[in-house]
Amino acid sequence: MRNYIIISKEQADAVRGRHGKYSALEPVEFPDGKFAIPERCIDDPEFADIKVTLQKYQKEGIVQDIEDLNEKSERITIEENKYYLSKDYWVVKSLISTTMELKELPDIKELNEIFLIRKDITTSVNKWHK
Amino acid sequence: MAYTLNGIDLYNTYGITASHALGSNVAMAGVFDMPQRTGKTYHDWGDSDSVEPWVREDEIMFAGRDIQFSGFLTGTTSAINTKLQTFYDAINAATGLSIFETPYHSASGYIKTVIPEHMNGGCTVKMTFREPAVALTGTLPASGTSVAYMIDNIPFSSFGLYLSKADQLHNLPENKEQYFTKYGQEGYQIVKRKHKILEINGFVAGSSLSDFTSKIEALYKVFSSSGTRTIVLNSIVTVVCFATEGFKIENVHYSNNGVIGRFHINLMVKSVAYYDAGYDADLNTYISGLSIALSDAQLTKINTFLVNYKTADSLTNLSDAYDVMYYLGNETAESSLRNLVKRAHDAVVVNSPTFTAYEGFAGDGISSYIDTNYQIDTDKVNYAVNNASFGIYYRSNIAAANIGSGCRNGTTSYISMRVRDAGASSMSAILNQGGSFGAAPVNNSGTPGMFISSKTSAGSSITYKNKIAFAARTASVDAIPDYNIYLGARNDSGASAEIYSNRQMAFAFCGKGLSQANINNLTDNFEVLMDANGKGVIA
Repeated sequence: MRNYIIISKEQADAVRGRHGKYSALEPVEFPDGKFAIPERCIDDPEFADIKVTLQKYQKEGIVQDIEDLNEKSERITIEENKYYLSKDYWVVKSLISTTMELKELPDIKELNEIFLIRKDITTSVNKWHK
Repeated sequence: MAYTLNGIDLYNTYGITASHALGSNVAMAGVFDMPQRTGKTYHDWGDSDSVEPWVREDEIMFAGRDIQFSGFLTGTTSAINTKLQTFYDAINAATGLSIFETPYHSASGYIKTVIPEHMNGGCTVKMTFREPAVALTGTLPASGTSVAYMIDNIPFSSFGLYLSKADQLHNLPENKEQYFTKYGQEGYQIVKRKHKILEINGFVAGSSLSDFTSKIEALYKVFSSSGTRTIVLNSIVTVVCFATEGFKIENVHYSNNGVIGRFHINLMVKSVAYYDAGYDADLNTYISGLSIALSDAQLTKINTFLVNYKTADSLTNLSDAYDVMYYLGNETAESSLRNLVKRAHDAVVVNSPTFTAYEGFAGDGISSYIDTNYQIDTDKVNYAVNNASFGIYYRSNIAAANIGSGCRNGTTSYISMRVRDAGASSMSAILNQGGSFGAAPVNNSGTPGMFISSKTSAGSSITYKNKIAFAARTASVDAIPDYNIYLGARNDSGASAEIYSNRQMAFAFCGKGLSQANINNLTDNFEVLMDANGKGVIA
């Protein structure tokens, strides 16, 4: 389970930074401009100083288990407005609900009516060999 | 130096002259004391030794304190009594808290007692003023490099604190309460031990009254902060403890050369770790100040690794060849993030990667990683553009494209360790290189283990997996990206992390370029350490 709390930029700015003795919180920006924090941070003692805030985000916001997209498989099923972890493009957002039966999925960058990909990831990581 | 009560000068109005507190050359006593905590400060579990500290921020509350003023009046007994009565009337006229101003402090509170003692031609006065709420504000001094005496990695001397004697620490604590029913003879129950006490006696010195006051305030701050304190004594004992009774500053002496006062504190001890003088010097430095002590068994294993590896590579200190080295699969998360080479560049975890004792840290492939706090071009000592090494021991072998460690400066230069791309099953390691690249070496499907990139000349670097060299990686530019090295993700130009990894990492380092023999020695000796805990992965 990779549960993430989806939050706004303002919420992300409020908790970003060093906490505890050995930890930092760095909300990551998803393709739609939303930010995300691992839900497990709530139970990390290093984040005790912001635990109440994180619990509030958890309660008021969206929490999603980010599944692998498995774009190399023959069939993938996606749900609208859910985030998936792509092998090539990190976290992507599905724009529709659908099941695609393909022996080999084309580069999902080409499926821009189905997937939202972060703008700064311009090339497939798999091809981007550095 | 005026002493006023609610703005009224004690000398001009009541004829009370400030004198000296007992053992001091100033009129005030207790004015620098830190008050004791109130409420529950710990929980005493019957089935474990010592106590559980209650040191969360919301659990820490403080009582007030008594401060004493010493003065005297002169004159006939009748005249003195008249002045005292005037003083008492003024005290009793107060309907709220009074303000007692002295050269050392402005206190808000009330007068508890005034005790005059008449003698021929005069009278001494001892006044006790209760300050119900004491401001325990202050600024912590900067952390220091490793020194013999430290509180939370801050040298004692930064607090103006000098140790005379630390007592009681080595006593065997008393038994906890025994519960039994016995008739006709004495009963007993075998029980756990109470907590240890660390009694520190010393003195605090300041170059001026304001310097002395700021140092005392720094001590307020450190002993009133949430969590436990880690105190290192003489580099050989680390005590994890907490203050419940505050501290005392007595026998204050004020002169043109500054202010000095005796310091006394009793601390409740949670744990004590003793360093073995027989351990390797790098190990003693590494464990100094840890808030959670490593077990003797684990220390022995690390010591064996350090001694054997350094002997094999003819190193006196790790710092002869390395800038940073992290044993990420140590016994505790705290120690795993420490730099084995020196007391600098300790790492922090970002977004809570999973730590497993003796195995290491693993991210989730989305957001979590380790920031080494080693900004490679700025902080380098041994590492150089054409004489460098970067290594990671991966315990897991996961085929994925979007994984890596290192940093890059845009597309200008890279330090990058991408050990297994999905599909191509290839290695893509780059060390201080940019421009146009030669082909990445291939054939990295299969096994995990120790991956080391080494560069000993311009133009190319070689990466080794479990001591076996891949083909050299060539590039047209040699340059170091000057950003913090990330582990489990790559630092993209200091702006963000990218290509997050979910591989479990047990070890990482940066240093000089390594030869095949160096790589063999490091790999073999680290694998012995991993195997000692049953966690090695090299076949």
